[in-house]
Amino acid sequence: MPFTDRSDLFGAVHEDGINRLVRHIMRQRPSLFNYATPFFHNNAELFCVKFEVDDKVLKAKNPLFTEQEPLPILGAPVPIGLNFCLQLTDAQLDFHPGNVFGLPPELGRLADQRFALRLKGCMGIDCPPKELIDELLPLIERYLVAQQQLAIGETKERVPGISTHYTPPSSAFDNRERERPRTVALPTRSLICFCLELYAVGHFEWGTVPGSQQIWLKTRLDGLEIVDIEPKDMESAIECYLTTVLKLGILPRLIIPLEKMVLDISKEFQEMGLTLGRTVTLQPSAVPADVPNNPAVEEDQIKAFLKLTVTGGA
Amino acid sequence: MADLTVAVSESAFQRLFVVLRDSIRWEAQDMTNFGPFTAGYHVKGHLEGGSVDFRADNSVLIDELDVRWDKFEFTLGLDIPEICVGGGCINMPWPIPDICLPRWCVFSANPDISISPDLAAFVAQELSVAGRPVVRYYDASIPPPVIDPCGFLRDILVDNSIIDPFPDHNQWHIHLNPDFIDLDLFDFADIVGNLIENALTAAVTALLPGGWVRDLILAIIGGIADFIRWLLDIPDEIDEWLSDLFNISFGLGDLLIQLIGEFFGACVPLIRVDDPLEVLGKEISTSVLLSGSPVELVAVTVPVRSLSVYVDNVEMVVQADIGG
Amino acid sequence: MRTNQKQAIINRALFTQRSFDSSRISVLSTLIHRFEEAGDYEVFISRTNRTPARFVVTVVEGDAPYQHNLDLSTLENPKERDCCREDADLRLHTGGVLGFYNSQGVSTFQVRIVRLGSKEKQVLFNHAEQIPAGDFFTVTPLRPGIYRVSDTLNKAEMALKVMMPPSPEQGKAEKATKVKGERPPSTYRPDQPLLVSVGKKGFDRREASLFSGQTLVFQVQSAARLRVELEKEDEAVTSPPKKRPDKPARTKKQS
Repeated sequence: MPFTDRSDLFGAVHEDGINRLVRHIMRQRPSLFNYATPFFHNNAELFCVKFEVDDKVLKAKNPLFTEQEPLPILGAPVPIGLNFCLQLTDAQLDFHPGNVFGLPPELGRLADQRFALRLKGCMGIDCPPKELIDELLPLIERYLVAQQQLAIGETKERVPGISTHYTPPSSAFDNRERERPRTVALPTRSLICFCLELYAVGHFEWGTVPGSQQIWLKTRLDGLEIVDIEPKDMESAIECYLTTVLKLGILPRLIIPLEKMVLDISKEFQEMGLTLGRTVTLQPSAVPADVPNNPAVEEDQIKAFLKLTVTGGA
Repeated sequence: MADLTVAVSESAFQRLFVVLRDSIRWEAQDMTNFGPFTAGYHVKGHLEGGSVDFRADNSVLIDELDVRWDKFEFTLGLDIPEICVGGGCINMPWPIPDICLPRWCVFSANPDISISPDLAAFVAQELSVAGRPVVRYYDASIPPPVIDPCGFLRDILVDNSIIDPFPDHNQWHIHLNPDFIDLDLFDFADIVGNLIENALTAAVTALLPGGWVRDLILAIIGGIADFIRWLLDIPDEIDEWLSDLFNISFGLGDLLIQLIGEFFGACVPLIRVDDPLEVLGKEISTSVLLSGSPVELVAVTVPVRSLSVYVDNVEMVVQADIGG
Repeated sequence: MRTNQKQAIINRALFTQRSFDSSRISVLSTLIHRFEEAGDYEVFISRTNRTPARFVVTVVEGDAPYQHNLDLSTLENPKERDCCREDADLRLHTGGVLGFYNSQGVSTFQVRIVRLGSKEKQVLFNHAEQIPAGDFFTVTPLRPGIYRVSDTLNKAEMALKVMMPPSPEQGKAEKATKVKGERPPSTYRPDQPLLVSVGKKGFDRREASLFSGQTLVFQVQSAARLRVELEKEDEAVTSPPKKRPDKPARTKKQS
């Protein structure tokens, strides 16, 4: 059957192509998939998962990850924290029928016109050794006593304070509104790493937005599952939180109006120097009038159907 | 199955073809000195009719496209030679040399005439082109050949901003290789010959005073029609001469065919796809570093492999894979 | 359709000339004088109310041309002259000829030639009086009709009939034999002169015919003074009858 039996123009991307594309993006834009404290610039060997980087990224001296503040040690009287890294190591798409990866039983079988997303994320958090804690503890206690910041309140004894490289300068407290003191990470020798897998299933649909005259293409989440978190309630809570974030926070920002999907071909030709004399546009074929689904997620591909419209002129 | 597939239906192509055809207009003019006369043309044209057919043998046929001329002005300039009476020589007995007699010329200077009839109503041609899509890989690292017939044409098209120059990186090129280009030669009907002859006759006659003086001068030059043919060195049929002028001397037909052939053939690709293809552009980001300093992130590109294109009865399909 | 033409002035004097006199060189007539002996000669060209033009001719036995044709209308303008730079003689071979003619305008000219080198200047030739034996006088009449040709010295006459040449349509019968690129053959060619002798016994014939534009050459065998005058114009050609306009009907006067 011809590709264009139901439309003027047909475009399709196979899931293999998308997944190869994602791998290329991961190698050439590693900072989108790796987040870590600045410590890792000189200690890349401590990342939980080794990742490949394209030569041009190294040549251009692009950062390999997006810098993050260290995880704060809550309650510490001075801004100290722990080094950590968060890495998205695998990202895969699977279009109906699902055959790239299996879905966890909670999500069932991949239904018609559905796509599945598999993400693997690994996190590594510094665990300070006992020796370091033993070394720092007296300093922390002394600081707290000297600053009279104990939970029990003031003490009669006045203990002189000391300054270490963990201690922010006193001027920083006066200018608290202007500049928060940077968190200093404790020295790191090794990380504790763990990985989680997340699966999501979704589909596309056309719908309206109250107050808008046109139709909008929306991405809908059908289900989300994080594998192997204990206890189960914690897993459910985190899944619910993520689902809510996606459904109410992230996915609504991704809706696309029809007007954005119309390509004015006559304008493109005009930019090439040829005036067509008529308006020629490419726009998505209508659902369900022209095609049952657009985009269609089937045969391991995402397919788009477009129609050519010629208006105006003689 | 290919990673990427794009298909265009024949019907969409036909609708787009009509719009493109209607928007194509051209204008050309030239003047050439042939010695005894100068000839030139000023033409303007557009296209009408025609059809596009996708064929099962992987070819596209553009058939019976009419070349219509809005203006087909043909300019002919003649320098009328001397028209004189008297002359000749008196034969003298040997060894006395002959005595040659002077001539008296009718005009004080050699007049010239020029006519510019518009033959648009009498000229029409049909154009048919069939071609096959062909994919070629442009390797920017290989220097152009020593003899590069395409280079000259490309340079002209680039200099006139008709096409972009070939880049310094690799590309896939899709060409429409013409199997044949059939353009009717210029074939002027008898009526055109008469038109020109009448115009020249009127122009020459306008030079001459009336009455017996005109009759005498016409007798001297042997009649205008023959006189003109003698001047232009042409056979009886002016229309045949005119056809040769446009087809051979001006080479207007050849020029069109050559332009079409080279444009669609080996020299100028219809579609170019960069390899590697850029999917995310360069970006300056201030959120990668905690300090907020801007960082220019490199563009993300993907290799394009196995680009292919084929045509069948109903559609043209382009497919490609993303390399690993 | 556009036509345009360069302004080229028609030589009207050619078409108004009706008579020729061998004592005056006008348009369409030529005086050809032969120099039989080597030597230096001074030539005077006079024109009514103008200072004569003068130049020297050197006639030699050696390497020199046998003929020069001089357009008398250019003599006054040194730039237009086709001869006779101030510092150069005109050289001619013994037995050679000088042809004097006027290419345009209504002026007439007279020629006088004096031999140089002797103690007193000998007037070799005074064109105003007569044309000597051995010389030629030519006329190229254009206006069709009957001309009377007379030699007033020898009291002789003849008739000259000048006809319009055949029209080009009459020559089309020869089209089939025409070769591409060649001038179409025609029964009429202006450059085919007719030679007539005139001497003590008069002209060698009683009448001659020419097509308009062809040349009649008088070969003078004894001194002569020639005149050619249009006696009867062929008015059917030169003045075709005009169509009378229709007169309105007259109303009769009641008396």
